[in-house]
Amino acid sequence: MSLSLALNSAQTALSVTSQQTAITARNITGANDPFYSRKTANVATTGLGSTYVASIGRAQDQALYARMLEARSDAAARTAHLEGLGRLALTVGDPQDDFSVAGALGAFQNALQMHADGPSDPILAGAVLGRAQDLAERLNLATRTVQGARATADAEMATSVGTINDLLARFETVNRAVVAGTAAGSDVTDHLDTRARILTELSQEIGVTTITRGDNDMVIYTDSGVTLFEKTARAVTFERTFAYDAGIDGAAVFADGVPITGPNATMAIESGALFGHATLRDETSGVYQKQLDEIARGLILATAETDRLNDPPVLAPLAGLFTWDGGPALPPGTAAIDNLSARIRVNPGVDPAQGGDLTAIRDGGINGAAYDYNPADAASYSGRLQGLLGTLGAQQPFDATAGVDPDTTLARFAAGSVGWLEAARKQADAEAAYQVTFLERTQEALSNATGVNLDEELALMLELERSYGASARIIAAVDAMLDSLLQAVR
Amino acid sequence: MKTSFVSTLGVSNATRLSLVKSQSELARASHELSSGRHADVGLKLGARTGQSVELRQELARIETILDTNGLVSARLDTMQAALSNVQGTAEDFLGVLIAVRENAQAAEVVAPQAELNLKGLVGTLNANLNGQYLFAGIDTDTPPLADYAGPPASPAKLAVDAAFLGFFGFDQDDPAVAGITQAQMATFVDTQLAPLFADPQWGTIWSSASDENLSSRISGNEVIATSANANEQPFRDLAMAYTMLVGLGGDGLAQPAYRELVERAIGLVGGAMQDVTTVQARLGVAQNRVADATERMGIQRDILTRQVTGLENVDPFEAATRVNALMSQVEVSYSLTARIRQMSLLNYL
Repeated sequence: MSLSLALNSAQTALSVTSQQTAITARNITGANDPFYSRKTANVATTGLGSTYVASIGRAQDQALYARMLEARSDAAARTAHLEGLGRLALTVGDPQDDFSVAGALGAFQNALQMHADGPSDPILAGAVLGRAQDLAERLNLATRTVQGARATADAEMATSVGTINDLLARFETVNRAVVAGTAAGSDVTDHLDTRARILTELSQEIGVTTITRGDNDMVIYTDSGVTLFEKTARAVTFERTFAYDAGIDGAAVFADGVPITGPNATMAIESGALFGHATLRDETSGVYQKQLDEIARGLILATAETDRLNDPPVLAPLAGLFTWDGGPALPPGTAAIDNLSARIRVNPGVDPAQGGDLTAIRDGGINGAAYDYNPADAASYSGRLQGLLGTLGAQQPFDATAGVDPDTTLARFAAGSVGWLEAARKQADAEAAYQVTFLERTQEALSNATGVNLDEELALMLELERSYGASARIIAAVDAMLDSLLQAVR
Repeated sequence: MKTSFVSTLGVSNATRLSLVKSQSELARASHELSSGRHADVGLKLGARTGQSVELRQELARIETILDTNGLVSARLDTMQAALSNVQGTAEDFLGVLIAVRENAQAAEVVAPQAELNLKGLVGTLNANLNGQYLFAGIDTDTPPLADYAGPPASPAKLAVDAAFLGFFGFDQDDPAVAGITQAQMATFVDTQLAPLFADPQWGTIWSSASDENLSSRISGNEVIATSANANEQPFRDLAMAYTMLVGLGGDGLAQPAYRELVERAIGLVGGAMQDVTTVQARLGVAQNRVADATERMGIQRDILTRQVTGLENVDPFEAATRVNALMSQVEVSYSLTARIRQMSLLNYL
């Protein structure tokens, strides 16, 4: 019976070789797919010497894969935050162009200085008015930019939440196929690849941790421990806010009913693009906006008009060159006032285009005769202008929660605000660069551990070709032997 | 069991990523080389961007003050010249007065000159630079003095005429002036004429100037007075001296009365000359302080410019070296990528 045994072995060898060839073909096809992991045929031998493909293996490295997910979430968070900071930095531009609020403030002070030396010259007064309007406009614009950046971050969060829900739904389908296939003992490696791909995409949006249970069933949690997927996808919900100003807080993102972003989050996520956008929207922009509001408040206070009739003053100081929608009263308190930088404007009382009087810059008196510094209307009176230069250059108390040295001059505070923003951007850039490089390295390591090498597959092909030929030759030999045996019998 | 394994995708990705990185770095480096400044100043400097912005504002402020100091200097120079002119005229006039004080026909020589000098004084004190009346104090949009004789006759002339008529009972060109005694004239000058040149009458009939001088910020924290005004004592004295010899009867007066006027005028002009020098000295001090501040701020400007340059600019040699190094790196990357692509078992099967 050994001849038929040899024939049988050779037959099974042919079948195994063709299956292996099919796997090699799959590997070659997937060589350029970053999510494809190398497949191998696990060949087993029966007691009678014949072989068969017992299962199909899939190259994997769980530890490396988990680290890659983590790196991807961190890199996405830092990159998203950096992008947002880049949008905020539009309010600063290149220091050379003096586009920042600090630059406009400097230009305004210089115009005042020129005017103080020629108080009788209406052209210089016009220059002061122009620079003052520039400064107010620059503050308004900066607020719009910051709030625009918040709205953009909000939209990105909505997109991110949509993507997360979409991915979780797809994950559910694939996970079900994996569990069913594993239970039935069929080849699920391609489903596993797809599942890994979905998880990788998910980690881009939100930091995740996973646990794999029996039958390859996977459970996904956020990096803070809220369940995103267990048997079924949990809903991630988010209410978009379309119009922002400094007084409006964005809505939180909820996963499975638990808030995962914002100040009230009990289980706040710490990575993923969603986290990066939320940080920018809820924290960074808020502090920067506060700095702008403080500059506006400092400006209104420094240019206020005081009681000139009574000494000590009886009448309250009122808004002078710069005012706000709550004017002519000064902004109350010592803390930042929401949106003040959007509400500040040049007092219409000095703007001839709005029925004002240009000489009020030199003389004061926008709030009536009691506030007139130059009742005699002397053409070259420079006391008020010198006084303005003095108060603008003097130390003022600022809101200590604004992140910049609170006891300083207005100009230094404005410059400090620029420094604060650029320092945050520099740090975010360094962190993002590090995380992206780390991600690239982990991805490379993972690709090397689980990816396909074309040359190896080709070499394997040659081997299989040879082995196929040999098996075929055995069948031919056994055939010849059986033939000669039958000839002898005949 | 494979101990080292590399995936085809890993190999091609590694070369691709390093190429992309080198290229973006090269773009940045060549931008820096051509502009001489950091490609993204804010990103490079971080917190020190604030410092850079502040230095730039400081620089702009200093340049503004340097500009305004130029204007202040021009004003002070013009005023000094005007004062020298007043001084010179007074000196010549004093010479004439001393020469003619014993002479009976003195009035014929003195009166026209005094009239001219008074006109000149008013003209000088009404000097105008860039639309500003220099000696008007802070009231720079109105000329400080009106022409004495007119026409129309100034309030000052009307007041002097009225005082004369009130005291003596006749006009200056009445023949009766010949009867005025030296003592009468002395009393008139002391009680009637002098008050017209003192406050508060000076401010109403003579001068519309403000007592408050212009003040200018000549450096970051120095605000100084940078003008003189027509209300200063020497100008009143000179005006009084010239008026006495123009408008009080002149050659109609008897010798003793006229002599009284000349003597008093000599005293007034002499004192005024000294006082003008004091005013000139005061303006000279201001000129000096402006010059000092300007020089100091010029130095400061150079230092600040250097600091800004130090912060924002790149070392051109370093940038050039970096561009060269990156260019060769990119070239190596290209040839490596091409060779790795060619390296495949397929080519040998």
